[in-house]
Amino acid sequence: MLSVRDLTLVHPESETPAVNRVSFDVAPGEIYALLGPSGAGKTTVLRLIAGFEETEAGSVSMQGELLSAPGKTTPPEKRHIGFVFQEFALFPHLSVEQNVCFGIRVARERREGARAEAEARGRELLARMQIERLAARMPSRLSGGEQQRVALARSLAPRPPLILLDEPFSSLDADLRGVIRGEVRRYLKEHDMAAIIVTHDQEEALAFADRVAVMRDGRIVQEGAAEDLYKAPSSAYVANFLGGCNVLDGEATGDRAMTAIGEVMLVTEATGPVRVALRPEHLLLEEVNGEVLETGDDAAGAGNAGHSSHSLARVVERDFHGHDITFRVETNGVSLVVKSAYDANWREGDSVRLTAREKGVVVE
Amino acid sequence: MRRRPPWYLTFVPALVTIAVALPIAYLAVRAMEVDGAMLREILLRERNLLLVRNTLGLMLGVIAGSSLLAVPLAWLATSTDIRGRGIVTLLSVLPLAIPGYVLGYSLLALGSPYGPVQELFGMTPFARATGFGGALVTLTLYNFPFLFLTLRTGFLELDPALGESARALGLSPLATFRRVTLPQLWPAFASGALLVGLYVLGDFGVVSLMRFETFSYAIYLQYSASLDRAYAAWLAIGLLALTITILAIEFRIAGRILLERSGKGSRRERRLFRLGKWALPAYAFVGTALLFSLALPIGSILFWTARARDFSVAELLPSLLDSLSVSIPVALVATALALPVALLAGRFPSRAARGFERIAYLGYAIPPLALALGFIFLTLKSVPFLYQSLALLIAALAVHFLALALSPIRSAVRTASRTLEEASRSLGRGRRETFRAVSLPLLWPGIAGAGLLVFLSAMKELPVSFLLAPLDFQSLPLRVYGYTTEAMFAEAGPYALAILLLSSLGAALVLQVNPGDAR
Repeated sequence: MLSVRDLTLVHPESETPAVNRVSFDVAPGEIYALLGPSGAGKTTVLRLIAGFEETEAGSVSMQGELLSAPGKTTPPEKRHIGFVFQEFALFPHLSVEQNVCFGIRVARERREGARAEAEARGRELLARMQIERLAARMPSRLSGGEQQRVALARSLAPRPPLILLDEPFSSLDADLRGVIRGEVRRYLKEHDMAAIIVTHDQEEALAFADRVAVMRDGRIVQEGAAEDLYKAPSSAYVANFLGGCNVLDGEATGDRAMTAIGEVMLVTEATGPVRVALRPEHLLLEEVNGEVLETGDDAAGAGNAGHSSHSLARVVERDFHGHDITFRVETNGVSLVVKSAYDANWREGDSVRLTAREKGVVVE
Repeated sequence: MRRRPPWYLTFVPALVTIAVALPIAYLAVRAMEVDGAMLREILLRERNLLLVRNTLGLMLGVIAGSSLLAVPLAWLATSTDIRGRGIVTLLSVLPLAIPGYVLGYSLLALGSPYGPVQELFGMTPFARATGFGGALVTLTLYNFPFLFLTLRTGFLELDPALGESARALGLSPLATFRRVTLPQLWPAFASGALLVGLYVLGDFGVVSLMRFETFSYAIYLQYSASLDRAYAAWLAIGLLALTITILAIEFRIAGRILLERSGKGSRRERRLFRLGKWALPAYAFVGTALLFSLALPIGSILFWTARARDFSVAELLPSLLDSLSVSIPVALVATALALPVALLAGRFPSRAARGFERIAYLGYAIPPLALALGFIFLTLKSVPFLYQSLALLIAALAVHFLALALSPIRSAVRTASRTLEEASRSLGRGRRETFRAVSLPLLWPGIAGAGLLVFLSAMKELPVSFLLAPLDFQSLPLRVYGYTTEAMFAEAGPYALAILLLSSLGAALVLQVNPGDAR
């Protein structure tokens, strides 16, 4: 439905483009996430799609209609693309209800009952955002979280075929965030609206979006279904951004690689020097039961087919989170992060047996 | 991002810059029209030294006098348990509503023969306030509210945690006050004192009524005697130099204040000082201050107005019409010019945009007499048919008051942000519809407020009108001034009262725009 091709924008003060040849497609009703650190160019991509900025190269088209190209920009109001601003942008001179009804098209028709219909739709959204009781308030008398929900309701109310969400849940506290996120997602799916969400929160991207693109320095570095991206990051950057990662240097021979923690099985075959990514929850710590462990380079000789080898590690840090425990361990001069179950009871200085439970991913 | 302002947003501010720069340039041109020997003679006149001493002496005296009133009042109104702190605050700001020359008139009229003091006591217990003393008292009573306002903000922003940590670090209460509290208050005091200093430099009405020879008064004497206009130009340049020095100091301090206020944490409620047995002296102090700054001047004006028995309100009408014929166009022009300057600064921030804004402020900060003199030289040289025309007066006042229009419009522009327009467009409203439904409703209060503020200021403006007005032009301020210089206090009364009413309206307006100031 939405098709973005080679979109590029250079800010006048900087040499590197803010957005650099970005291309992607969004299907009708699909939720697409742009994930990346601040300054990666995510918001600028949204602003280009919305028509607030003119593109210098590339194009944006929707439902076969060209919206943006160098020298051609369809004005924002003709695009039928909603926008939820990071800074909310509520109209300060209008009440919450007037804000929410501002963009509902039927409200501007002279038709009998049109206004009532618009108000009903506004009410429904206020209820779903749990701010019905605030309908008559002015925006200046709302908390940040309340303002953000009004902004969401306002942009959802006209039911545009595509809606752009710029950090739309950032001001909500943890409990409410999950609820509102679910409510927005349901609303989008009910009315077959597509959405692009910009966020720097990987959990949010993974939970909310159907497909995720990771951005860095104005470019999309990897794109795919949320789970695929998590399981098979193409680079250490993406691996790290999606939930933290241990990246080890190693020497690959076919389906395994020799690393500082011994032999690690690989998802894809490779040969020569490689970098292997292992997620903290994919590593296992076990009791050293008096057995003698080969460590490091010696483990190569073990060669137990199909399994990664063990190595001996020392616990240097223990971080209790309640639902789990994060350990930092050292072995053969490298330091790794390991996530263990809540009942793991090793302390700083303990010796443990370290094993990779899952296959490692070769990354750039 | 990659945006250029439309041409008119740069054109108008550039025009304003020229309008401020040209009269100053013509001052310089006129000043340089003397030969070398003459120049040496002008620069080495002994009188120059006297003028500098008088001007700076008056400035420092008024700053000191204002501090004596403003520091205790601000402390009482913010940091003690005195009853009616809101009223103390309001009454401490109110003297601003009496223009300096009206205050001067009222104090001169107070102690004059057949004045209220003589009527009451059968004699005048104090000599008529003139010269340095008269100027000092009048300007202090007019100016201390400026200092009060900045100090009040300073006291309110004092962080009690800082004082407490100083005590915890072993400092005595006195040492804490000296080493922690005072340095925190210093920026507020400095910015208020500079405001007062700038006003004293530019004041013409009070010093000329009191016949105290500062730069402004000397410029007027030189000019009106028409003896030596080159010397008048040199005097104006000297005054300008003093003003710019003060502005430069203020600029540096303002930069520092910004730094000092950047580290904001959450702040606890301040503990109020219990006056206890000191409550009575405190009330006495507030009462005395208000007696001199409000009660006596207003009483004097009412007394003399009542004396003008054969005066009918209809006599005010020609003057009122003269005032309106200038003030309304000035309000419209200044607001219209301020809008592009504010839009450029708010929407397309750049070094140039900030420069334009600063030049607009300069037009307000430079002494009005110097500005007016520059306009006179400018018209006589290049457009003589405009000399002493209403159009010139309107133009000069519009340039002068532009800065007043700037602040309300600027904050309105901040409210009506570009993001809001984008939000409206993304909700399907076109450019014009967005302007009607979003931008205009948000900008309008600022524009209207700016226009009203300029209008009321122009209604009571004296020095620029005094030099530039057409011969038959008799606005309300010119009437008050003219009658006062002739010691015709009864005749001046009704005009002074009219200005007082207009001015109070302006004060009420400002308080409504900044309701925080009233509390």
